[in-house]
Amino acid sequence: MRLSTPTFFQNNSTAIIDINSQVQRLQQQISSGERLLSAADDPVAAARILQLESELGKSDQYKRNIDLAEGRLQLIEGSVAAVEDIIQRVRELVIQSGNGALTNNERAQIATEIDERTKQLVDLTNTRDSGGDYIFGGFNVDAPAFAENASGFNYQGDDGVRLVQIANSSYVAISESGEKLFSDIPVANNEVVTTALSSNLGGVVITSAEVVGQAAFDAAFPEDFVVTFNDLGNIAPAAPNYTITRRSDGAAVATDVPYDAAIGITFSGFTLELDGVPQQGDQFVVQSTNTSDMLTTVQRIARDMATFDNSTDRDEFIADALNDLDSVFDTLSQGRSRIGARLNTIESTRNALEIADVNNQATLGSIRDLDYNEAISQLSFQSFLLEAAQQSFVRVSNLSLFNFLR
Amino acid sequence: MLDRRDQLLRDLSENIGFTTSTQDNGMINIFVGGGQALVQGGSANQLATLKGTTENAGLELAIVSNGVSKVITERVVGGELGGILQLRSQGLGDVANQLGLVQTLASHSLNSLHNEGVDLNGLSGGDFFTSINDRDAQLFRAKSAIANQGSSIVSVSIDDPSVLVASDYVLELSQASNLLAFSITRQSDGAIINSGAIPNSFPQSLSVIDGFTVNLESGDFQAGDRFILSPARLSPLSVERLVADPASLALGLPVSTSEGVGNLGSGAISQVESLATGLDSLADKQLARQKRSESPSLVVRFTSESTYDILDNSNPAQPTQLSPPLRGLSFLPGRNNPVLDFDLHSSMLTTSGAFAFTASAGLLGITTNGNPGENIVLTQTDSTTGLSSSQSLVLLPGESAATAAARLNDVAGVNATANTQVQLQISDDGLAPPMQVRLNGVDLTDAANGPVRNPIDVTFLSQRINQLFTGSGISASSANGILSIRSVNGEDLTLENLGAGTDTITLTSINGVAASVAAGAGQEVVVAGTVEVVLDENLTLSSSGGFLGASTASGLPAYIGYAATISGMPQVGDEFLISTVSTGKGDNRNALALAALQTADTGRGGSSINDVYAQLVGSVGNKASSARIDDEAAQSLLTQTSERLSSVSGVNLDEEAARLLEYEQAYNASAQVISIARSIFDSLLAAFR
Repeated sequence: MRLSTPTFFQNNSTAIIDINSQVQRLQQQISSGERLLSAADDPVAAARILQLESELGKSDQYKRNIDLAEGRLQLIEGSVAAVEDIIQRVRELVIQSGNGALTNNERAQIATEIDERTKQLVDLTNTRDSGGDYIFGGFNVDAPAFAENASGFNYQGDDGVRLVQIANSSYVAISESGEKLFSDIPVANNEVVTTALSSNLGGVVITSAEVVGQAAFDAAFPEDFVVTFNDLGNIAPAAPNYTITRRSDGAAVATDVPYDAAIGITFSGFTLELDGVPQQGDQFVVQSTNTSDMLTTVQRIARDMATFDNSTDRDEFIADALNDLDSVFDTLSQGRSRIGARLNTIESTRNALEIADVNNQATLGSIRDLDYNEAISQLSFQSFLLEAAQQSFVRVSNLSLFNFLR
Repeated sequence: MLDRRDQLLRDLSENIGFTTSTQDNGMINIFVGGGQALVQGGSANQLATLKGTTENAGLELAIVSNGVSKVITERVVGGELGGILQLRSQGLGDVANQLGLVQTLASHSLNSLHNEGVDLNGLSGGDFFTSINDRDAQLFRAKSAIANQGSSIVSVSIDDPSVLVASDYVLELSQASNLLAFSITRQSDGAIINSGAIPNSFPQSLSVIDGFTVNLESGDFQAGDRFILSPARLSPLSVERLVADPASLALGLPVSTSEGVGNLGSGAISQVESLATGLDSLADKQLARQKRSESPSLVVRFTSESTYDILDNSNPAQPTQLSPPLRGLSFLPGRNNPVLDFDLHSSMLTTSGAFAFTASAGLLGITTNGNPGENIVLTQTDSTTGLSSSQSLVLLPGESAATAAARLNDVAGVNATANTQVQLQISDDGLAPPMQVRLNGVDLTDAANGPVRNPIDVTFLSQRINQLFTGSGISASSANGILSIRSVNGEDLTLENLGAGTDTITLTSINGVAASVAAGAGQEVVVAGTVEVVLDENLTLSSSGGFLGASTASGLPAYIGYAATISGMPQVGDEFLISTVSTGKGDNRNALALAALQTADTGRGGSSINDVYAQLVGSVGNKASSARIDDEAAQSLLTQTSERLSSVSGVNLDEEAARLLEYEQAYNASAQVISIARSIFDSLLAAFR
């Protein structure tokens, strides 16, 4: 077959372009360090690389989350530890007050210190994080977790627990609701918890709610009561009056009782004092509970100690107070062990993530990364080929009969 | 001249693939696009571009012959044009559909989760991105062919993104007697996925199993009309982020749980979990959202260690029964019990009243609750095939609500609870012989159980019932001279008045309905309970009479779109609150759910958004890779062909030079011959001089 001269030149330039493009490709691979320059090079590997890279990206985020969670949990643990120290001090003060040689006046001084300690406790339970959020308020981070009210302190947060994702299917709690840590602590004597319904018209606030007759109150426990103010005309002469119903079945237990603002509402062992003029339809829920929160308990101990008189059974008071403080301790240490367990969990999750990362990196490397030894020897081979092709082309293209026709 | 012609043909072949035929006189005819003559004999036709057959579609290639255009776009193969057309028809369309699917899934799943949440202002979360069923997007997904007569408006709305396929569809209309026949063909595999006939009046909606609905909205639809539907196609107009203010990010949830103050048991309630994530169809999500917004705050109150009621807690001072009530739901102590995990489509039946039968004087001991018995037929309809199957249940006369509920519970998909409540007054004349009362055969006035008051009153009876029936599900309370007795299992309550003289038991309320039934001395009264039945989706119930005869099915009263879990051992009277009031600013529950979308199964066949995108990259890579192989094969074919061509028509310079030398030498030789001949002649002529 005849080889035409244009074909000769064409073939040679095609060959050189081919080698050139291969050299170019190798050069790109070497400079980027990646084996695949486009998805077309290896579609299956390209899809796999996407998945592995997303896995590694998630893992990075999880590790950042773990760092965040660790900081938060350490902050919580620190606050709880400080609370424990104070409770320990209050316990010592209570034991000290049991000393028979002390006068009631001296006891009142001890009570003053407990009062001061209570303020410290309030500060701690209302700890705020760097963002100004109250850390013990559950989801309600805008309001102090505990606020003082008529019957002691009440928890203003909720039961919410903030979670952070630390692995594909594992979440860790980075908050402790103050309710779980500092409330719901069993106490020796049943207590009263009151709420004025938000739908009330009179704007009446409960100024005090107390258990005055423990035996009567205990007898009704765990029944809750609802105080509803009636039409003035229900009694003659017309005056504010209320009906008390059982919350469980709505049955009335005291009907059309005249309301005397000076005395308040007394029923079944509890007393409720209100400030303001109740309107018809205003409702107040009185709940009985055998638990209390830490702050109320400590405050009550201080109050009872300050008002000691010779009729008080000192031994019983000390025993009840120590019992209540021990319950506080139990609840706090349960909380601390929960936090400790979480810190352990995130530590081991961090390790697991590191191991998974190493494996994923290795897999990703084997799919995506370039084998430099191979690539560089390929490149020198290809450059050699290119040089050879160029030189031989120049040499061969000079071989023309016309060169001799001179 | 012929060389010039061949060179032109070669140049043409770079642009478009064609075939040639040589005529006897040596002329060449050129055909493109499957036999359309471009050049025939001495005349040439024109290639032209036309506006696409559907709105917004690309240009079409046509050949113009005698002023008539014939579209040849789909038949052009080879050349640069063929390559570009192939890329447009196979590569780009698919990629646009797949990319659109990723976008549709992402924006839809993000939107629907965002709608579940509440933002910092306590408002329900709006759409994060423009809704996938935005008007513009709906219209963008349907293109009518240019050839269509009349101005018809067609739109495509998406019902269920989780079953969308990244393909185009063709809707074709044809005439069928006085109706308009239609067929919808899926382009990716050519399957006809919906066909039928519709009346020639609009609007009409055609739903398609691939998760979308075609709306023939208005206009003049005619037989022969064609529409290209691209439900998954990415709309450049309709992707926009709508949330501008960080405070409008709905990262919290509107539902929270807490335990009641003073709970005695060790029961604990978990955080809520959204049920809406299990719903794929847009209609279901809409319904769930509506039900949730209508739902009040709820309270779960334990009526025994193993049963609970769900009550409306709008007024925390006085929780009330829902309508229809959710009573006597069963609880397994010590286990994780899901509460409120209702199915969106469940329906509920409840008996309005119940039966109470009073035996006349002297008939003591004959106990029947007056239930006439009933035949119940339960019909199950399969949601995909539409086939239904029935089973019947015969409840005997006099059966108690408890037994009826137990038998109904044996049927799959039926959840029945029973409950009996009665309120009564006692009138004891205090005269000898003392009044005696029996409840379900147990003497409440037996002195062996402690001193008996005379005359007996409701407080005494209440204490006795609670003492003697502990753990049986029967409990009592008294107030204002009224005794309330309740059986959380729906057992019959039989009260026997073993008194004398004017001793009377008067029932004032039976199962919450006011009544006035008196049982005098020597008489007894039997009260049957109510049955509440929750039916799964696709299950219906009909009854001949008895407990359920007069009741009609209605939706569940407490579907709030969220479920929680109660664990531990709650005691009677313990409460768990489920508040539908928005919670605090630290709530990140919806944010966690949004983050989990990355790996959630949102697409067809349980694929995540990541998976769908990886599929897209893989398939584009595959196409590019096979195109590269095609390119290499075509290159070597081209090289060989050019070699063959130039071996025939090309020149080799060496060959030509050799010939040149040959001719030169021949010329030299010839010149020598001439010069020799001339000298010979010269010699000869000189000889004669």
